[in-house]
Amino acid sequence: MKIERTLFLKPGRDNAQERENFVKFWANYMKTVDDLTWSKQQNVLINSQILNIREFYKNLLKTKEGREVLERLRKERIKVRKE
Amino acid sequence: MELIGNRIITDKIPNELDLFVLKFLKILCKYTDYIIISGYVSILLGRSRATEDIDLFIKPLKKEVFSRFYHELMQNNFWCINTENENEILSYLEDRLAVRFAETNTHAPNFEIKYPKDELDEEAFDNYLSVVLKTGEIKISSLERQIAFKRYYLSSDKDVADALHIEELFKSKIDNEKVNKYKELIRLKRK
Repeated sequence: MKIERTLFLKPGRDNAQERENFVKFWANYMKTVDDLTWSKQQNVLINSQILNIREFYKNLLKTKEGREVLERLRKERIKVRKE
Repeated sequence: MELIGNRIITDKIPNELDLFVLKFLKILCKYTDYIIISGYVSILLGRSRATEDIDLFIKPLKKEVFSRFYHELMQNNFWCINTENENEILSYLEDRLAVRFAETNTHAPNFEIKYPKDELDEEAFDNYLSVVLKTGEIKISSLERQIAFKRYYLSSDKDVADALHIEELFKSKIDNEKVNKYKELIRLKRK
């Protein structure tokens, strides 16, 4: 099946230009499709990050060492804030 | 996604981050007004990146109101990752320091909440937009303010890209004069 495409990503000459081109490409792509289409793609990225974080903390809670790490992190945060 | 007046209406499918934000705001809204600023605004508007924190200004709370807010957060599986002492949390806020709330036993994603520290911060409450999702509404700072702070104050690669995303997406609706006014205010008040 042929997929019609009207937008193409222009390659950048360096990392900064490549990043800028992609941001512009993505924003313009969003305008060519409905919200369901772009949000499904964005959600793959965002949901995977959130689910990975939740899994990470769930696993930490399963062991004594993990719980100690969590407690240390919590205390360090407080220390940072007080300085 | 469409900007009509001060509302952005979208049919996007809410992601886990949006749902997390809506869960927190449902509690917060009972106690005070808020405005979401910075990175999550661009993400809410479709930018293809993740984040570990959601920044927001809240209007100052009286001690007893803050206490009720804090206890409702605790009952709903949130914790403050700075301290467990509610008086201490409130004193940080009153000292114009940010405090962070996350889901219990996690640190990210988290909400970085702070009181406005001057007129420039307070102005965010006067010019805001409501992003209307199928599952709720989220108040964000104006696009022009967002662009100016990202481009001319925060200025990291990530921040400039966030500004660029909004500029490209809402190209014809951005008031460039307003952006320049914010740029000048930032120069006077922040640099």
